[in-house]
Amino acid sequence: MDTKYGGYMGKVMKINLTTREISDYPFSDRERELFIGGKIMAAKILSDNLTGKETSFSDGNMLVITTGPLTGTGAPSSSRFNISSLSPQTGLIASSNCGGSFGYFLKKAGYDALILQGKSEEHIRIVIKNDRVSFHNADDLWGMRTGETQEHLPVRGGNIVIGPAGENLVKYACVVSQERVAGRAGLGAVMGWMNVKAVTVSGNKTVPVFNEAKNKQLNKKWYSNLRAHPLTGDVLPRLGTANLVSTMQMRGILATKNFTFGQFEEFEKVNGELLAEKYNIVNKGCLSCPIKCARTVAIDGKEVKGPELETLGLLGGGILNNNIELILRWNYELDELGMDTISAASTLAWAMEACEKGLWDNGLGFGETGVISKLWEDIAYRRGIGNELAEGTRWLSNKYGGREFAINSKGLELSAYEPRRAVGQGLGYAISNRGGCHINGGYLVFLEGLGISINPQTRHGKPDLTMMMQDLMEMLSATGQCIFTSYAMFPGPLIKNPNSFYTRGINRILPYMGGAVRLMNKFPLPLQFHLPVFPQTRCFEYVTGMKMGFGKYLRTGERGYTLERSINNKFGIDSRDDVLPARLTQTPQVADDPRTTVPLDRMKAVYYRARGWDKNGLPTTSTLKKLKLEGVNDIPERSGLKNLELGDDLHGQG
Amino acid sequence: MTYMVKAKLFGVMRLNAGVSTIWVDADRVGGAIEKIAATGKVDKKELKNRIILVDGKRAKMNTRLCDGNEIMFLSPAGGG
Repeated sequence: MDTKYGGYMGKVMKINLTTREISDYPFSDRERELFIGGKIMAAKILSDNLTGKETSFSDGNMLVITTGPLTGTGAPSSSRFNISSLSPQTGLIASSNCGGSFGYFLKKAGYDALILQGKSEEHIRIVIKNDRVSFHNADDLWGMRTGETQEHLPVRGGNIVIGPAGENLVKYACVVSQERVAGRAGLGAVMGWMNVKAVTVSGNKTVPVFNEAKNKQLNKKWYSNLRAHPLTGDVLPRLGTANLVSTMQMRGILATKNFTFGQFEEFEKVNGELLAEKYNIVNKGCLSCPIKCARTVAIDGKEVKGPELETLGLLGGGILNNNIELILRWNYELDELGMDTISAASTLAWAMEACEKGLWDNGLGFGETGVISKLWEDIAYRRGIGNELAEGTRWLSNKYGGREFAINSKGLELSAYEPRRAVGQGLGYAISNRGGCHINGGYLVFLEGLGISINPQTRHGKPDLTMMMQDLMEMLSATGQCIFTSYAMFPGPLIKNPNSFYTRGINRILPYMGGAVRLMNKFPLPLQFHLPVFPQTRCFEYVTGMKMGFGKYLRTGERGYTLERSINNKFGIDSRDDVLPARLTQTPQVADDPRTTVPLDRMKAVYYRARGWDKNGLPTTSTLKKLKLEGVNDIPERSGLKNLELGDDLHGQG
Repeated sequence: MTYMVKAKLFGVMRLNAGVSTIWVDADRVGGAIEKIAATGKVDKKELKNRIILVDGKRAKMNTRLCDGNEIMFLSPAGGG
């Protein structure tokens, strides 16, 4: 064991696929203290190795698969793992998070992280069993869909696989593990470029826990608190994330017709209630998860994973489809082909609008669903128009025009939350390190009308709240936990009684607490205590033996977020790239209400100041010093570089 | 004077009630809630604690109703 801390296996394995050389990647306890695990650990590894000149499909890029210290320790919903790399969609650092059991088995094999670099000469699958690594020819698996591929792999252990989309370098190909998916940012294509069809891990090691007795006691109480909370114990288990469709509709944030509108007249034909009542067979969960938010539905007599909110929203109202059965089928087909449902749906919606507007004669139209199953295949195998659709909305809008309705940020398509009626979420989408991601953007929409209801149109307080939420989720993810466990920090009565005096009071006051939130963000370390509603910090201490309080938790998240930003800065990203398509910032969603646009520039300026970034969106030297990140963005010409993958002069194109 | 209005339930409340729509006649939202509760499918306190919209606009207990209004009762939501 190469660490004094619990929760870690103390080893990071690096595989050079070109030479098949296997080595221990050095990662010290000091680095564990600063960068914890998961996406932050991966960002540190990538930051140390990327120069700003690499592209996603190049020998210099890495696929970094990390776990968190809580993974495999019995903490609730802690079996997640993270994959980080340069994204083929954005050309920037991307992290994609996944449930299932792969992370648990990676630690059982004795590793906190696995780094893949280079390109195998032949198609391979990798098997890691404890300290033994073997490479197997995967010609027989190449071409198979993700389900069939997994059927051919060893039953014991955890697997990650890609489908035909990853093999054919579809820019939004995903990585699949059991029925869970590391969906966003095209990391399946990176794996495909490396010629790796699958990785299997297993082992018999035990994850050490610093204080086993106290950890068990805490977890017992934590599980029961999550089961008693209205969101994690009732709404999510019974309705899954699909519960959001109806509320989003009422709030005007359900992306409809490629984000032209925020409401879909026929939402009741594609909502979570219908899914639960008519199609859900059983709800499933990841290892060690009491929430069990996943749905199971029947397709062709087979029980498969049901759709999440994003898929229902974007393949429902997003393309004006009112047939939920088609969405169930498409969700299955996309998983099997190995494609991100969000980007696939958004790219399709853009293509439909481009055709409607006469920019691209592709034969597609809103509400015309007959060709879509075949289209997914055409994209995955890059046939016909599928070959172009495989490139995503940014590439397509650069070719055909229509950038104002190419709904992406930094090349990554937005999720199903329409931000003109939740402007804080709009800010998050624009500044997010991985592009149009609701989670990496801070998920402020949860406060702007979903869980609680602060004024969704005001910009007051939003930048500071966004920063706090981003830092919190950055750290949650780094420890290996699901962000859903953080819902329990919002007291049950606050969620359950939206009309009560004190809930309404909080909703009203919160946007004007920006100054107080800013102070907490700026000086979090005095908050070095455990909040009763946030057991994550105490659990972290019991597992690792490191000191942790709420303030340090936030500060570590801030370090991770800024580190990722600094990597992106190396690749030429600056404030000109923190943008949204014109539809969202210039065209009011409600024609006679000019407030229903995202006031991005004003929020961005406040956000940069809150983060300690300069007006160009670059972390200042003193910010980097404060976060112990000195030297991470030593770039010869700080804002002069352009990302090679994006081509020249592409700043500001979403 | 009362009006026939359509009450629609969403979220876990709908799953608990086992119905999605209940027609009632009432002149105000408060009255409609009394009538819906009287069906025995949903608890009155729970209805009062929901976000209530009438034809898509936020409503209070004393919001007046007209024929054909649609009252929506939303449950808390979360996901990601």
